[in-house]
Amino acid sequence: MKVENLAISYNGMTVFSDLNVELEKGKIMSLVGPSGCGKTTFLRCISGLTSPTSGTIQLNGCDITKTKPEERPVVLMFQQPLLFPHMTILQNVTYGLKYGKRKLKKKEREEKGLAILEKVDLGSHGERYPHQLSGGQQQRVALARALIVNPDLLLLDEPFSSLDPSLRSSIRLWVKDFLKNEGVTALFVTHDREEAMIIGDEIAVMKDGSFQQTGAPEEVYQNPKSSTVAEMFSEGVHFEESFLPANQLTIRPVSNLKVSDTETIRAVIQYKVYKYGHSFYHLHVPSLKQNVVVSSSQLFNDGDHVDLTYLRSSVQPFHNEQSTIYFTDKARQSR
Amino acid sequence: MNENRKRVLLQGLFLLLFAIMFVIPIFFMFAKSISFGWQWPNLSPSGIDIRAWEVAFRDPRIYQSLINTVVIGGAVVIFNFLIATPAAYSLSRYEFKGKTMIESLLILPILVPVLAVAMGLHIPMIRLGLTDNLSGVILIHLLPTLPYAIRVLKAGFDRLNNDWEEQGAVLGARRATVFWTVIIPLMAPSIRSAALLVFVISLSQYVLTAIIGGGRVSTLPMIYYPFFSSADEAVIASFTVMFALLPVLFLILFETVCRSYLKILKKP
Ligand SMILES: Nc1ncnc2c1ncn2[C@@H]1O[C@H](COP(=O)(O)OP(=O)(O)OP(=O)(O)O)[C@@H](O)[C@H]1O
Ligand SMILES: [Mg+2]
Repeated sequence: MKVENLAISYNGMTVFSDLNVELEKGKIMSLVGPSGCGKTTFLRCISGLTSPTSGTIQLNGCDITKTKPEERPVVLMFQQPLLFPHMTILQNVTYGLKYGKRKLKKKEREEKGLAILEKVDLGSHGERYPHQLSGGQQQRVALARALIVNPDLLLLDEPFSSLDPSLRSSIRLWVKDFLKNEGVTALFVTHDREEAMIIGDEIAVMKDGSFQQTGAPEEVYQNPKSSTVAEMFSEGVHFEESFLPANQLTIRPVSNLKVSDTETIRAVIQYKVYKYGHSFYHLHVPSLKQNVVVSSSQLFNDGDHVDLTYLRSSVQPFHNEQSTIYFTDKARQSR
Repeated sequence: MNENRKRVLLQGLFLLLFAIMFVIPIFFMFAKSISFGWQWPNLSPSGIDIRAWEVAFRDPRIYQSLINTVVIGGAVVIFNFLIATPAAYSLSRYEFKGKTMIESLLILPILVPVLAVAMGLHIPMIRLGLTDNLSGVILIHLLPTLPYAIRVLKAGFDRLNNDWEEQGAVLGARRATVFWTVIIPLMAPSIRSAALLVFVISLSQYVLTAIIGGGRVSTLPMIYYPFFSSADEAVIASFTVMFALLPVLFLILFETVCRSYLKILKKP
């Protein structure tokens, strides 16, 4: 998939003006960005439900910018499952094979439908109706219904946001494995950084109508190219022109002691959580108006004023793609 | 538990209200039509007598007017759907110039006395040969029914947002296909109410039928109303029962049609 100079505006109000992005076949890209930045609009453009003002969309080398949504080999999965309530699960799943571009015979349809229901672990639910299924099961049926037509590109618009957290974390792993096994090319929109990293081979960060950065999850996470990306996707603190990963920060009691090569910023402990066997402190840095989470084995109390110290060399200037100094021995020893 | 009890209570209340308002009057009407010498203060009639029904059915006009009523009602329902469905769909889904004007125009027939409009239309309809026959009456019945049909269907389309059409489209189905396979089944409640409303409105038209039909097209109300002056309560009661039964029969028939449509959809 390749998108060039895509632009769209509603009644003269520009949502985005010059989007460019490329996605290789078989890869999954996670799209993150603040609310209202145009993620849904972007997916709607690609699926053909909304026409862009200008720009082109290519799929497998063909220009599909002017193709009707029903003719595009693209399926969009909405936030809600939108299962047809008057049809059984099997009829829902096989809808695209009965009324879509490639119409199959009833027997063939049902065979395929049952096979894919088996794959989403709902093989015995074919004769049920949508309202008899839980939210997670409905979302899985919607996924099966989307995949059965064999789309060249699958678009997912926050498909799990209506699910409760525990269900959500189990289904996303499952979906990732499923999409990878089937070799589906997909574009996945989410608000959740963790979800984006779990599912995406690539991350695209969108803000103010343009892609701020695209790249592998660890690349974007560790090397944000701008303060926007740092704020949205990375963990740490960011200054005007540089970024400091959270793992380079050490919490110390307030002192005026100066150690060479290190810098100090003041912070306030907000609260502490235990996770993965470690304690994590949520801190607020008043001078930067930012929050950061730092792990420490030392004991501090909520509301304590502390120092965050870091090696001057661990600060990464933005727009620097070669800064790979973290996790050097020196940085580790200094903790 | 508490929720459940509340619901049962509400349902009971609703059933009671329904019984008081519809079932009991009809039942008494029916009882009255087949009873003999049932006068106040007697609690039960002194005998059963089907004289009133005989009187009603002895009138040779009744068969013709029953047929007319049903044919007109059915045709009015069909034409209403043919016109109201696309109209309501466009009003609900598309933005276009003059949309608000059309919407307010749709209330006009409810506000302005239909009689006045019919008077105005009478002369042109005579010229077009649309008086004194069934087609003219069917046409004029659209006047008091279409606004309601369009409003009911529009409310139904509004309730189903555009997501369903889009979901169908991304799965590769053409717009018309999605309309017939998803939207129409989901619209069933609205379609049912619109059909019944239109049928009942058409059923109770007297003046419009009289003016445009010129007395040549006789419907049930045309022979029912004159009976009021006869003061034969049993005969009036039998007519009333017939009147009440027609919509019920219509609803049953309509339901059957709906069911078979859904069955056909499920076939390969
Ligand atoms: N039909 C429309 N008419 C006018 N403006 C619209 C329309 N749809 C979206 N917008 C505007 O486009 C912008 C982007 O909306 P979009 O739904 O794409 O955001 P999003 O990134 O998906 O947000 P969220 O994360 O909250 O879902 C918003 O500012 C919104 O107001
Ligand atoms: Mg959105």
